[in-house]
Amino acid sequence: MTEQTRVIGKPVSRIDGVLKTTGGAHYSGDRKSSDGALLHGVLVKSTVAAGYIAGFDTAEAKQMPGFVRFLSYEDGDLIYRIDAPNDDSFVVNEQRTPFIDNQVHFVGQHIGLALAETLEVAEAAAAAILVEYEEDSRHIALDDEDSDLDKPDASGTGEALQVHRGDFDEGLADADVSVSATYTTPVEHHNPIEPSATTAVWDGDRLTVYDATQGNVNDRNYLAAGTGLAKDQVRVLNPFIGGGFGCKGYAWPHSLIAAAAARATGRPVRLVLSRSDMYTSCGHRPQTRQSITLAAKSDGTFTALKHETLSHRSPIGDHMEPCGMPSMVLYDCPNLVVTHSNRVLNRPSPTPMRGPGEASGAFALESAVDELAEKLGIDPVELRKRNASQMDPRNSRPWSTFNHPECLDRGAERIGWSRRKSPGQWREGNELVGLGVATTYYPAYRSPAAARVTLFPDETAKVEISVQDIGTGLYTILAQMVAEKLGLEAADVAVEIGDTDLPEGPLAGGSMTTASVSGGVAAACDALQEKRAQASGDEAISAEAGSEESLGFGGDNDMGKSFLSFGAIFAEVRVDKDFGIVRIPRLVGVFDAGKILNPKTARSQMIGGMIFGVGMAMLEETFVDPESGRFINPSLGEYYVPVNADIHDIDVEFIDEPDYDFNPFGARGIGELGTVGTAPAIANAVYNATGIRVRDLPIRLDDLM
Amino acid sequence: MREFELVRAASVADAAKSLAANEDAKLIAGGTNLVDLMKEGVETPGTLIDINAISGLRDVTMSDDGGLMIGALASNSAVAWHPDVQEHFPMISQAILAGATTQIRNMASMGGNLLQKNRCFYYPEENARCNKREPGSGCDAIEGINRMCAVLGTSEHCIAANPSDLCLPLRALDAIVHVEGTNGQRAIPIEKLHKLPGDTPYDEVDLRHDEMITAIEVPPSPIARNSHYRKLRDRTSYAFALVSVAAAIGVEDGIISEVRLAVGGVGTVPWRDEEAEAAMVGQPATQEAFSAGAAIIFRETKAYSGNGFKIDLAKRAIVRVLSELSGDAK
Amino acid sequence: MKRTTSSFEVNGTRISAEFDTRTTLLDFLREHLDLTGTKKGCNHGQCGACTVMIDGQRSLACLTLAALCDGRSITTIEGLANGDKLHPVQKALIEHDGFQCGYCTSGQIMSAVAMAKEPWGESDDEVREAMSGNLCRCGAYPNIVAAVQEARAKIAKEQPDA
Repeated sequence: MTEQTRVIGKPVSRIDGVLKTTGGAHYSGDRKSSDGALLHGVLVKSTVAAGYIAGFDTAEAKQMPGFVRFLSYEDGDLIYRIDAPNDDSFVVNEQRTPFIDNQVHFVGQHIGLALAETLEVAEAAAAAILVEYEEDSRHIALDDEDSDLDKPDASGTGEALQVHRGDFDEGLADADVSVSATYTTPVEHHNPIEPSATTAVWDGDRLTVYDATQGNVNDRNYLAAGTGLAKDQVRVLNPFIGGGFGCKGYAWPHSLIAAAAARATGRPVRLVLSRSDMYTSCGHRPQTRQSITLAAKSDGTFTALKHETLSHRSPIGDHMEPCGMPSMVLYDCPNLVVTHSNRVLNRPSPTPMRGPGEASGAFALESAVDELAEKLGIDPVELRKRNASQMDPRNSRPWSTFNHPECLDRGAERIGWSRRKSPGQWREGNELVGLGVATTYYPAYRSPAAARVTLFPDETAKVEISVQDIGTGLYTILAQMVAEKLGLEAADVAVEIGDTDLPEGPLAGGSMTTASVSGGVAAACDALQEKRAQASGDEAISAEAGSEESLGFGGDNDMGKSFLSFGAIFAEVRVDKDFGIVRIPRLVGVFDAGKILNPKTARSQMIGGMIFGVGMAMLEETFVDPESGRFINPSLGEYYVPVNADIHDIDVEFIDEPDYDFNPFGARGIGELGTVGTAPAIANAVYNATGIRVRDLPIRLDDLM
Repeated sequence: MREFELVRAASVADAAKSLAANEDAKLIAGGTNLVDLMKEGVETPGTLIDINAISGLRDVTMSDDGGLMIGALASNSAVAWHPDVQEHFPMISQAILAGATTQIRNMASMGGNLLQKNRCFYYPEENARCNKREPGSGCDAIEGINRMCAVLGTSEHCIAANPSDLCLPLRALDAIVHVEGTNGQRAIPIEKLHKLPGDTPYDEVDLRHDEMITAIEVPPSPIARNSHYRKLRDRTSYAFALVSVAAAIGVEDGIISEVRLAVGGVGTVPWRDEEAEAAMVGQPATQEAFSAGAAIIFRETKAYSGNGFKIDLAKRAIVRVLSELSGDAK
Repeated sequence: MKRTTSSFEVNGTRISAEFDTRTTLLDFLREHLDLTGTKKGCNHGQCGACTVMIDGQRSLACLTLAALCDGRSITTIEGLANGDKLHPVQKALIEHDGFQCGYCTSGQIMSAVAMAKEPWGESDDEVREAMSGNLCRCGAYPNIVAAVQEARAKIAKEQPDA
């Protein structure tokens, strides 16, 4: 069923490689500033978790030469209300209009902006502004029972969050063996190396914003609402984004604050978030506490599964981490209970982070499966294969492609699974060695996207779409798509993206950009080919087309199939027997993600996704000061993301079976698939090495001493 | 960052004079720690005295008797990669290379490393209570997040651990810190340089305001050839120690003849316990002897909610390092 | 405002300027010279995105006060390629896909170029340690190691004495 392709499926090097390796790629904070036109903005953030601003003392800041202005809620009319934002025109995870009033909901909330002629003065001025508060009682802890508790019905992508299937108690009674355990994951931060940055420029009643966003159309609509402009009066440009991982997905207040400041001062304004700003300004992966009960017959057949999640949101945000997702889709289990509860806390607003819900949820579920396998005496690879859902359990539709068992088998072979020993039995010198496995998965989503393709007389082409490349390789993939369809080479195709004035596509999130743009690009190329047949060849010809289809959200569609990518992650770990230090010499990932359009960039993305999972498993935690509610390690020195020395051999294999039902190029998304199963695979390997089950991430040496 | 005047010192005397003339002045060499803390608003000097142009303070020389003289402005990298240091004092080289990153080691001066500030999460946080940053404000770490904090030498006012890797081998080897001020030169044994927090955790080192470190002298130590620095941390590289061990050992006919041992990540100052070393000397070089020595170091500890594991971890690290070194000892 | 005057060389060009004493080399490059290839990732010496060469040594521009660069010679990512001819490290990084978003890439490249002249051993583990001062959140580390190894070999072959 694989169609022969010429450019698609080839390991083409990134077409933006020279720009990115010579310093020529310009990111949102890189707009020229030496001409003195720009004003620099620095945020003033709340230092209390709950209360009201009683007043500002700006005297010291105001006498600084070069200081221009301080903006706050006292200049309230600057920003239009965005209270009812989820009207389809844009999505935010923080619904409050910035600077709307003097209320403070968490430490780090933006309460003011210092503007100055130079960055040095703006920073000094922001630091010199004194704020007086009337403090209110605050709710910080996940188990603070005095704070409100939500039980939301659906996730941001439309998944049901409170699910009861069959009869759980009956299933549990039928079982021969069961495990019950509680798993926790901490607050984690995306920490792209590029901090969010906004440069806002007004020209009459038009606003141009260079913004580090994963969703420029969403951002534009948010900015239009907040500035009272029509959408076509606002242009957002983001040709290069220095990573996002979710924190630049939805629109955030700082973008609007910068736009409002530029309007208020009549000058272009640049606002680059500091690293510590990044911890409170654009979301985080919320802390979770998950309780799982998993029960089976002695032959391993699952009979009952309960997955209950407690997480948190801010008083002004609505994100709910959908941890129960894997329990709804990965395995056949007739009796299922999935619940989600969200505590309202005076902490900053959470947002999706690479594999939102899936990653935290898979850590819990896939650890529990491992615990059950141990108790049953069944190999964990075999137990997964025995229970793998053959059809989507949510709606009994067949998967569009189904290679979950094959991923497990091939991964087992690649890691050398037959070497695996009983827990704690494999010793080499001072090291305990272990192997672990987990299933990984990610739903396949697709959103509407349009594209314009132009063919020039010299047989070169150009493709234009608003969408953004956050590092996934979209520039190159788009060139390959157009080259494939028009009979050109990728090098002959110019790619213009990152501009909302171009035909609109989706945000770079939910691993859906490539799948989404496929339809529009293919349709535009087909339309162009028709014109080409009649054209003289002396003039450029152009065609624009779009795909209006949305697929995959909530598992719903009218195609009679369900779309979801499966995979398997295997880990080998070596644990120092005295120190508990874990080394991960080898990770293997086998993935079924449809047709792989560019194996070079796709492999990189899977490796990167798995490294993200290594961070989750072993390193990452934002500490919440229990007294003040402050995130107290808001830096890259104290919040550990993996460094080069943490990473060793990572082996990636793709099944590469095209999914032409999903889009014309047969591709499903891959951005999050590598991350989801990695933490549990490592935790399971650590158990196999040491006999110690760590249910609280990250796994630290003191857990294993 | 607060505004500051910049002056350039041409000589040590010049620098000392500028310091003496200005209460609010600080020296800057590599600046890796100072500039960072100035950005955080923790350090707010009104004047910075650039000492990088002072000549003669970058040399690393080995004397005929086997001692080292290290200029205060020598970069951490220059010392770590120096062939004499690598051959005769491997733990000094290893300790430096275990710290920070190449970029920072290229910039950071040896003198500055001795004065490195602590890495307690609450120290740079403007709105936290910290007696080092804001005397009298209290200590949020004691009841808060204290994984990185000390278990030895703490007080009710401060539990921050000294983060320096370099200071541990220097402490184990009885290094001498040479300083010069307006009243002339002084030689400070490194054990006297760092002060326990006690009631005055903000008073960290025995340096007068007008004094500048000019050199670090490491006395000859034949057993230092058989030395090792081991750093245990949450991240493989680019992380401060949870526990680290700087150790040198001499073994003759299976009997411990001399031990030099300092432990990092656990003390409010670079920690060494000569009693533990004395107890090991004369004993057979066995894990039992190393373990008994380690127990002496940790006979009086105070652990907090998040760092009690360090005690056992440090003991194990000491036993491992000394065992490996004595296995190698000829 | 307290100001200072300094002169130094950037990518072979002599610069003399008067500026706020607080200005870091990173902000000077970006805001005064429009050399934005050097990136600000953390501004606290914890990510390596601002790595430049100062007198041939890799250093962090964010922790370097520009005023302390008086008389020194600075090389940034913009000064690495010889016209259109990419440095072997740049070429190898493209070939091995040693970056995704590209934001840490300038720093990775400057580090790798410097590393080739530092006394590290030959193993992959040595490269991993030597490159650990440059965070890459996209997770390109294995590809960076492969690229650095290839480029190191090429540099050693072309400049056996370097």
